[in-house]
Amino acid sequence: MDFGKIAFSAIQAQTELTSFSAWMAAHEYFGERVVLNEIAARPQMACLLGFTIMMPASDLIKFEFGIKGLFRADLAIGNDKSRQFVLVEFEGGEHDSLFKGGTRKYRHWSARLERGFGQVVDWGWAKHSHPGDAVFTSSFGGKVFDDCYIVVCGRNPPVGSLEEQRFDFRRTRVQLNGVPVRFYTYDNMLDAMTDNLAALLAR
Amino acid sequence: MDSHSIVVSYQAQEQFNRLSAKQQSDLTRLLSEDGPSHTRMEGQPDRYISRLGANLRVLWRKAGAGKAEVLSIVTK
Repeated sequence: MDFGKIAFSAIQAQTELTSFSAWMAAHEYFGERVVLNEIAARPQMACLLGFTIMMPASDLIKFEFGIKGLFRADLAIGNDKSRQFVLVEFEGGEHDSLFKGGTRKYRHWSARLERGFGQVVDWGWAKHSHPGDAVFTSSFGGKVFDDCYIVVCGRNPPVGSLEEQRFDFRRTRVQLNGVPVRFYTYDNMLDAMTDNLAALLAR
Repeated sequence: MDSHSIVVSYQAQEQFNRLSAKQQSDLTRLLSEDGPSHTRMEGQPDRYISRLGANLRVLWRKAGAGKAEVLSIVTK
């Protein structure tokens, strides 16, 4: 199995989330490598993305997770007992990370976002083509019972803009061979982590 | 609060989708009722925590027009 073990701590996750939130507040835009380093330095916070699919607290984590020796996810987290996994691809948080080029009326989806989604498609293919293949299952330490793919890219489009409406549609309607694909901006990711943590810490 | 009037935030959509039909129905009924089953969060007056069954915690807020917006559902 390619994963490392982690003992999730909501309190530690809160500390890491607070510092990441401060980092976000100080950086309006940022590149992929920079933000990935920030997230990799906060593994407990990263585990909060596992609650996207209501899996029990993550106990497996791996940054730069290889799939069949061909593909790679920036982050994989999972729960060993429930065999649930979330694979995450991080792109940059630049002003043009979601949309780039085109006309004022119709902006093109960015190459970064399409690249991130393209990697997700390859993860889905790797699972679909030979789900029981030893090379595939050994990476996960066994079968995968439930999973979800997340692409994190860009900052929120302007409220009420056409780009916001297009992104809203895309982020809520995509599945890949039955596996949900969630698209988050970094603002969405922060909101999701914050809300998941608040629910976890409640008595 | 008006019954059958919950909305689900984007961030909680995948969690809500994974509830059984009965759990979704129970959650809708739960959030349509005022009462002691909801705990107001400290420092955030519009946010509440409710228990759904033995091991699920639901974070939600009053979203206006009698609606409750589900923000997060976690297994605890």
